[in-house]
Amino acid sequence: MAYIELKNIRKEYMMGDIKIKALDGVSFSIEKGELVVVLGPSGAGKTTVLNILGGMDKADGGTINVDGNNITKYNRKKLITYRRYDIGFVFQFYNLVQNLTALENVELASQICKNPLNPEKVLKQVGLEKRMDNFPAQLSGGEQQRVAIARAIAKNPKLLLCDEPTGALDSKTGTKILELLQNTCKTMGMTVVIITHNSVMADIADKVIKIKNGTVSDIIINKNPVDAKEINW
Amino acid sequence: MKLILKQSIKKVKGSLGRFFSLFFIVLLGVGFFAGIKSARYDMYLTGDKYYDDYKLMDIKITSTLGLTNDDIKEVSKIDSIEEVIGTYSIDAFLDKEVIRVHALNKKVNLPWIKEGRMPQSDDECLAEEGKYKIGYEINLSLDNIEDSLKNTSYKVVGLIRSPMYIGLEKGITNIGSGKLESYIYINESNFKLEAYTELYLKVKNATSLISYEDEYERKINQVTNELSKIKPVMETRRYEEIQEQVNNEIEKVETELKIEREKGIRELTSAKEKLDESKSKLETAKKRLATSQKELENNKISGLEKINNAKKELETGKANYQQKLTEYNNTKETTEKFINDTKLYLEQQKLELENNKDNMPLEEYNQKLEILNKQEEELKKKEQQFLNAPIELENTKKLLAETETKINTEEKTYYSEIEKANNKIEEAKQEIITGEASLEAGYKDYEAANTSFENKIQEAYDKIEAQKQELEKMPKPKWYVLDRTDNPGYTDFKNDALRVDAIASVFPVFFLLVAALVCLNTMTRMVEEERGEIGIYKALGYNNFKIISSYLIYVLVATLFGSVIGLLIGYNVLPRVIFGVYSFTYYLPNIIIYIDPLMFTLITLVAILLILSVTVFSCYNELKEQPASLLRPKPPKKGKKIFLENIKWIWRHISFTGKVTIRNLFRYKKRIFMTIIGIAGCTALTLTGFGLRDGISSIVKLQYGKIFKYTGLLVLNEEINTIDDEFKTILEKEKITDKLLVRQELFSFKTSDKKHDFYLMVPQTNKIDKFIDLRNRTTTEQYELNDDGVIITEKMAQLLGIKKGENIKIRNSDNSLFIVKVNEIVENYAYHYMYMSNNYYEKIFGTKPNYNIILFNSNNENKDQQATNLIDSGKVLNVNFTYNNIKTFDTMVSSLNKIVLVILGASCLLAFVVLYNLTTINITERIREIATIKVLGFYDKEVSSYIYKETVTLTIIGIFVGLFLGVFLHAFVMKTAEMDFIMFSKNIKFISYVLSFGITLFFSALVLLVTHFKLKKIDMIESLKSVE
Repeated sequence: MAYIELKNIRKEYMMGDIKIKALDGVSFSIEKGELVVVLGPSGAGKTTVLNILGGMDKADGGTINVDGNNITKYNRKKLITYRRYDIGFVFQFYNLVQNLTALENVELASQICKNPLNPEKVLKQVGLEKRMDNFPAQLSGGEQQRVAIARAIAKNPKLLLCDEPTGALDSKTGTKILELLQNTCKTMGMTVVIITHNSVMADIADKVIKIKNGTVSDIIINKNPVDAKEINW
Repeated sequence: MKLILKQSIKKVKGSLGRFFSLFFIVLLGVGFFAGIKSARYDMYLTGDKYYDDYKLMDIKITSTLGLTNDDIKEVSKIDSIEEVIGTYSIDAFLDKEVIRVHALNKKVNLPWIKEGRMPQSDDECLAEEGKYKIGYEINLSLDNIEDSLKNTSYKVVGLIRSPMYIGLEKGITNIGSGKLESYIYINESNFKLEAYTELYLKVKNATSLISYEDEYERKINQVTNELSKIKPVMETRRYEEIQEQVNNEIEKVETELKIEREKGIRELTSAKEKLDESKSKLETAKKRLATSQKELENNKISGLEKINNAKKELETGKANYQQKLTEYNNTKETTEKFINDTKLYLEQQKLELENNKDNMPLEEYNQKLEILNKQEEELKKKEQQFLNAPIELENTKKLLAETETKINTEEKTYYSEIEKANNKIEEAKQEIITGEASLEAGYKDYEAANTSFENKIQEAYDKIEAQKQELEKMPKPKWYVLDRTDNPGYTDFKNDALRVDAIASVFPVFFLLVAALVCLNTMTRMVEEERGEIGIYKALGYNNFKIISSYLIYVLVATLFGSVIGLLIGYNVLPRVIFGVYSFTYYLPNIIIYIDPLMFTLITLVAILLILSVTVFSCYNELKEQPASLLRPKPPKKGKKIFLENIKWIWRHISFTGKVTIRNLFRYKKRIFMTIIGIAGCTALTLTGFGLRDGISSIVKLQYGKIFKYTGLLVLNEEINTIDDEFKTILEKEKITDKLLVRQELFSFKTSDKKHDFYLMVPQTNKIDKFIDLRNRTTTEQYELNDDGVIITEKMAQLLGIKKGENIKIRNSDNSLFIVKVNEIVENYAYHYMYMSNNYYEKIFGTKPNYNIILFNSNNENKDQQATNLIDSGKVLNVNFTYNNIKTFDTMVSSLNKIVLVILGASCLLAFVVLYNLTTINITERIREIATIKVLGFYDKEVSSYIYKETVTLTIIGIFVGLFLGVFLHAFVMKTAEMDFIMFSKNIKFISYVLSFGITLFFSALVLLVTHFKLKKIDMIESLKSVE
């Protein structure tokens, strides 16, 4: 059995009187230590998949198994615990707490975990050893995203979920972030899922899952993923 | 414009929560302000309508000697008086209680019939509701009540309230225990009094004015002033009238007495004469008796003598007879022989003569013949005699026998007669004895009658004399011109309304202020949130006004509805609640709600204007910016290091949430300021509320326990110099051991705007610490009276604005001015007092003081009986127990407590709304942050506590700031709420701090609970989606 397995995930939203099927039977699996890119156009349902996978939303049908646990059966509290210990999130807009320094933002996450990584080390790892005591507003977008990644990694999660991590960044900075994520996956053996509409990124993935209109249209196993440094968009 | 309207509607729809929070805060602020503010007027109005509907008199005149139609005529002459009604009332006992009996009059002081009907006959009455029941028999008693009333027994046919008695207390009386317990109304025709006991005056156009309002009071004062002008004239007139009347009466009685006396004397004299007559008769009878006795004695002797004589005579007769018989028998032959011889002789002689006839001259013959004839005749006689002698003897014998029988009968008669006479005398003697006895009794009776008559007459004269003296001593009648303030409860009601108003003058303003601040915060927040939209409009070329308009319409609608509904609720609910509180203390009809359209409009306009300017102010900050920058999201506020971080060893020991909290506190200054202000405001209001209660409730214990230590106060019937032995005995009998004679006199002093009354107290001795504690409030140093100045109470000094050592001007009731030196200023809470020594009194007024009250200490438990006994003694007019004052004050305090509760309730509501509003803003502002930590896997509790830490910290800071501010607010409210004659204690009890702290915390907790669920509901995905 795969490390993570999604089976026939369905999700519907009510938009006024109209029922919209966001996900209509999504199934795929992720192995431990894999770098997966979920690719699809806007509105395809990829964020919904991520949200459900990250325990932020509940599926209307189907099952998700993470490391042997069926999280679709989790109640609210168990879902929080799942987010707390097993998931690390990285968002497009970083979502740092403005009132905490870089280090503190990382510590904010690590302090609630069972086996957190040393926040300072993690920050050093993402290359921010000199910016640790700065507040988010004092950092550039890339630096802020690094802090966000450091915050996610420091939790030592089973799964790192990144929702358009480069969406708000220029290509140069974006590359650096991807590089960081790839390194994290490689060096730490962490399972990383990146959501993007940018197909260029697919090259760095071990597995590419293409989503279209709420269903998986294609799954591509990339035997030789490209180094993030080398991609160009 | 249409677009803007649409936009506004959308805004309302889009942020219903905010719209309603705005709406509610306006509603609360405005409603509370208007409601509390209108309570006083509504109370006045309710009272006034009651008074008008039931024709409560404006002025009442009573006189110590009653009032007459002349008085009515004279009083009616005053222009501003509409009507003068003379009527009656009398205080009488019903069982042991004293009640006042009023005459029903259709023109004035109508009873408010709550149940039953009006009396139809003279033996029916109306009685106080709650005290009596329909069908109850009221039996009045009083000395000589039949002189005043036709009936003394009445059946209750109706239960009433009277506008004269709106308070629980019914006032005082000068009989019984001195306390009036209830009242009844009976038909006027029941009264038999010759003079009216009171005149009720209705003042022209006074009905159209609102009772209690200045205008009404001014009008009434004018009339009372005019009345006081005619007062002395009317008093003198009545005095003279009564003098004359009584004099006439006395004269009449005197004359009657004279006649009666004369009649009595006549009767007595005739009785005496009769007695004397009987006495003299008795005397004569006695004399007669004596004479008869003597006579009898004489008769006895003479009778016996007579009988004896008769017997002797008889014996002699008998002896004579025997002798004569013997003589006869002896001489019989010789006599017979003699007669015969003589006969022969004479015959021979004759023959010889005849023979010789011719021989002798004729003359000689005749002579010789005659002689012879004579001799013959003589012989014949002798013969006859002799012949008769035996007959005679026989006769004599017969006679003697007869005589003997006669004597015998006579003797018998004699003895029986003697006996008869004796009996008669005995009888007469007896008669005399009884006569004497009855005479003696008669005399005795007479003496007694005489003495009693004399006594009676003397008494009558004494009475007349006493009456005359009394009349001479009779004091001039005194008129009392009283207005409605004399009615028990009338002034209290006003004071209560004023107190509400005084409190209302500060609280709602504070309330409004907080509301305005919250609105400012809300609007600022809203405009900030919608900066992008503003940017778009601006970029599209809309001018500032048009952009602002949609916001203005938004707040206009919220404020307009909030204000109008708030006003409607406030006007209707708060006065009702406050009035409801007082409905336990006053008997009044339901409250009349008056909504002043002008005030209504004004308040709404002010509220709208205020909020609109707040909105314009908020928008202005945004509109200043360029459209381009507006289109960009507002850069989040920069995090900043704070000072504390430099002290690493402390900072390191603070948890994350702690650090966030601390940083946030310094980061969102406005929000923090708002929260603190809001909470501090509520805490301050709460503390003030509690403090107000403390201040008022504690003065009762201080005034009537710590300062006035005496058990009670006796108002004396007349002024005295010392307590004489008789009075002393009375007092001792009533277990009054400690007593202090005091002269109490009403004086006044003037401040810039007002005249204040105060009591001058001149105790007999300078040391009065057993009764009154003259001490300094702060240093608790005790003072004694001395002879070069006075001691005055604190509030009086405050009003006068003087310090000790200064001179002050005081005026007595005749408005004469005196200047006294103030030696010390002492603690006191209710009314104003000036304490003065005897000698200083003499120095200032030139006379020694006469005392008119007695302060006393007593451990007598049965106070009612004690009071009754003291009043019955005739020396005491009224007894005023300290515990009664405490009771009165306690009622006041309990009412005020309830008002404070209303305020507390409102404060808590405000606290809740403010906290809720601020927390909501806090949450919306930080929604991304909250979503983030939720995503990070914070449990619900952790999320809440992440937010709470800040709120709780702010709340606690706010509470402490509030407690601090509350002290000042309290002082300010106290100063405003305080009445001229009362000084509130400025101390707030510790428990009040605790309670204020607790209550605010409780409401914060309530808000936090609501927040918790709100936080739980935050949708992470939606919140984190993206920046719009």
